[in-house]
Amino acid sequence: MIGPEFVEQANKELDGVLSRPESERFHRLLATDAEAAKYFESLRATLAAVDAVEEPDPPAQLESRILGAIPWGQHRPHSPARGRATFRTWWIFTPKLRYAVTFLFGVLFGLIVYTSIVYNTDQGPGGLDDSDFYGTMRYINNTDGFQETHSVGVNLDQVTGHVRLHEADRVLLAEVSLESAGEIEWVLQYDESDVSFEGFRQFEGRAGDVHAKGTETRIYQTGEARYMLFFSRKHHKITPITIKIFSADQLLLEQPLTPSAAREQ
Amino acid sequence: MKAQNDAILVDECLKGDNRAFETIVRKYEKPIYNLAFRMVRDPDDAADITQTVFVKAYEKLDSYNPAHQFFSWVYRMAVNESINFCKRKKRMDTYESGITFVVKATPERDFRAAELSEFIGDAISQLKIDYRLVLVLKHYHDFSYQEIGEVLQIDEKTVKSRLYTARQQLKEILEKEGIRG
Repeated sequence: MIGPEFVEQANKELDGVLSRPESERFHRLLATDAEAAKYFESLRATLAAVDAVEEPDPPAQLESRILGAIPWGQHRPHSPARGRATFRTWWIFTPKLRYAVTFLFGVLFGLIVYTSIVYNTDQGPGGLDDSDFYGTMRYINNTDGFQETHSVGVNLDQVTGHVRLHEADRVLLAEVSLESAGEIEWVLQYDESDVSFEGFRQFEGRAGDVHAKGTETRIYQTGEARYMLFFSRKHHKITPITIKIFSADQLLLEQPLTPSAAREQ
Repeated sequence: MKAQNDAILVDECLKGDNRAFETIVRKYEKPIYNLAFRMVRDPDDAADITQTVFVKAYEKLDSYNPAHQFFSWVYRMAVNESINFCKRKKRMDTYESGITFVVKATPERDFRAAELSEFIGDAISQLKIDYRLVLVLKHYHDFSYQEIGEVLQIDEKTVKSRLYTARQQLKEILEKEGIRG
């Protein structure tokens, strides 16, 4: 009779974890019990078939794809770095400012979460996943209530992609999806009496520092990246937001993004 | 030794050495991809999951506790990503067919082996995800009961129970299909 104890012994024998005396005792049982021997042989054959299936190789480009997606620079030695590490260096080495800015970001984050609740934004299928959180805001993958009001295609030698403006009643979303061979800098400029920058969410590409002040938001990127920037509008009619793209301090593109209310004027 | 090397690589990465993480990627890319592939049975989806696992591992590297095995930590991420993917896609029990398995076989057994492997792939995909996980980790990653327990954060007794059940169900499925190893 095949009972749970025999099944366990059979599995352990096949896994090679029975001691020698246990294994000998098990095989003596098999020699005297045809049903047990048949079960064991069937299980052995099943596992042999499972083990015979070889693992497939990953796609050839997977390694480079993974390395290209890693947001390098997140883990850095605590020493002054060259070039554009000034924001991060300042952040790390200025405790008072760090605490102050942390507090302000905390307040800002709280406001964003509160706003998302107040305006009853959808949480999307499966709810929110903190592990996907990246940036200063949660992007809700739901365009309900938003309307794309302006789209600009970018098709230059150094950079391609698109910039789109989505609008809701009191919110503007600027979607910037660009791909470049080298490092580029792009800037969104706006009138601070019209809108205020509330946060951003990066979806793809390497993380770059985001520098925001009253009238502009500036981001550096290399390769492919997609950002969603979130602005609250202070009143209905607002002046255009301008995007500028630079490469090595050379202006490649300057394009106004016109909110619908501004175009109605 | 393996764990010690991983701990050194993680430490170097946290000090800003990107090459250390590249070494980690090269070391674990194939097993993570294979784990994902066994779970989702789609090469493109498995590649996406693998990429996500490494990006998250890099981002969360400073939360890794060196007191534990690094491979358990990164495998756990892969398991969670695979499960989340299955749930998102709602394909836990309705996988598409057509995945090709490569089977070790002598030339004269090629046809039989290929046919058999397809049945096995189908049969494994019919198992509940908990059973499938322990079977995959045991048979395709050579993990011990203890290591499977660490990855899945369950005790060894549960590992054995799930593994034996998975094998029993797999045996029954294959027998029902008239398959003998």
